[in-house]
Amino acid sequence: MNYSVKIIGDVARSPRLRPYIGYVCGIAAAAIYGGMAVLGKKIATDFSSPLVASSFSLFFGLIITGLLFGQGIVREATSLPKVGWVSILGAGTASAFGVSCWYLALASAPVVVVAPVVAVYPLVTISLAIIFLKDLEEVTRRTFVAAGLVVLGVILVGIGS
Amino acid sequence: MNFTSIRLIGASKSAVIISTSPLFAGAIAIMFSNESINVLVAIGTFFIIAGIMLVVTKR
Repeated sequence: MNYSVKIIGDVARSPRLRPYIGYVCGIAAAAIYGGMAVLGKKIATDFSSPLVASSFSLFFGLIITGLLFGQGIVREATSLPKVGWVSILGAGTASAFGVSCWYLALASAPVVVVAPVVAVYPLVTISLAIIFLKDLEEVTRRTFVAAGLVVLGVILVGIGS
Repeated sequence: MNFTSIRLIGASKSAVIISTSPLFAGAIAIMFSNESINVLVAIGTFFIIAGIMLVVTKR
């Protein structure tokens, strides 16, 4: 596993291949999140309360990430500036609340309602990127149209399934 | 994977791609729960793929 992570790291350093690795990682993350939604519905309705499910899934996620990337994490963490730590704390807190709300929503409402509502999040991300990441990335009209199409598509899939 | 994607292609493009996860959830549900595809799901899938193509392909 560490070897494959190293290969991905080496390939990602190639400027020509960087975007493609980004797309592949994004699609892999989408597939994993998709599987998590199915599993999450089962866990939050059949086995445990949403808060227990979210707490333990985040806990196990921390352990697995630590085991896989432990050395790299320690190396990078020692050279991280204070603003980096604040940003990570913010991202972690947002992630924890997001996952908890997601399990709560899945436990109390049908997936057909939850999925379309959650699907609107790329529009929120793009809006925040325009406000806060002006210097780091350019949001084109093409990305906006793509986000609209995906949101519409996800809503239709949610209603139809 | 999420953060790697954000680092390599940016937050906005990454968010669009990762938001397609319901498509994969639907595919998994069809594979393991014997659910079927209807017209709405098919049209929705088409829109999602069109959106992804817009992000991935260059003008």
